[in-house]
Amino acid sequence: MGKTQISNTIRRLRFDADEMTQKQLAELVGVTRQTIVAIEKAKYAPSLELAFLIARTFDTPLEEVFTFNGD
Amino acid sequence: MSHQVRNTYASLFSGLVMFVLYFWRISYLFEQGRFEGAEAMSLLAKTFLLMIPVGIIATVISMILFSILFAIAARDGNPSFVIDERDRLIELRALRWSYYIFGAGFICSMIALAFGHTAFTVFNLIIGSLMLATIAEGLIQLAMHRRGY
Repeated sequence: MGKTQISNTIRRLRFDADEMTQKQLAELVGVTRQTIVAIEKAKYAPSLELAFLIARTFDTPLEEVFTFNGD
Repeated sequence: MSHQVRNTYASLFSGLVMFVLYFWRISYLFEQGRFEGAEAMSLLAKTFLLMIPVGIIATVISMILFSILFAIAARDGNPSFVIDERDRLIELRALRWSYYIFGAGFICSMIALAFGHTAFTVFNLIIGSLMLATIAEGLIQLAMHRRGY
């Protein structure tokens, strides 16, 4: 499956958040660890709701977490 | 391994068991000549209906067994039971493929009927395509989970 057109900075944000693990983030936003892995690798574009939840977890604006790379 | 993947393995396993059990039972009855005469379709329908509770029980048992086995294999005393939006999307995509496969099987069975095959053959083609679609649905789900989406 190809990559989505949405890149993200979740990996860096996790690192900055006291090296939060993927599992911890998954539990905080109510998804599986596999979904966090897929989002980080840009293999899956999360729903708007999940994107906001992730941004809120890191106390960061949405546009700083996700970037649209399409034309 | 996510809860949805464990469930998919369990469904796939029970689907395969059902497939083997059904066609084993049908071939056994066929060899005994039970599908000759007016009662043939009634017996076929009874055999199929019998497989429904057997299938439910097999799925529940395999889900419990797979959960225990994977928890032991992963040495995870607190496995996750979360099913999220990605799991549901994968499930929907796999279901769509399953629908296509069943549809193709149904059309094949209608073609068989049009060319003079018996109702027994057509019924088994429909059941076979239904079971094949279920197994394909599980395999597609596993492939999508493995590839990310």
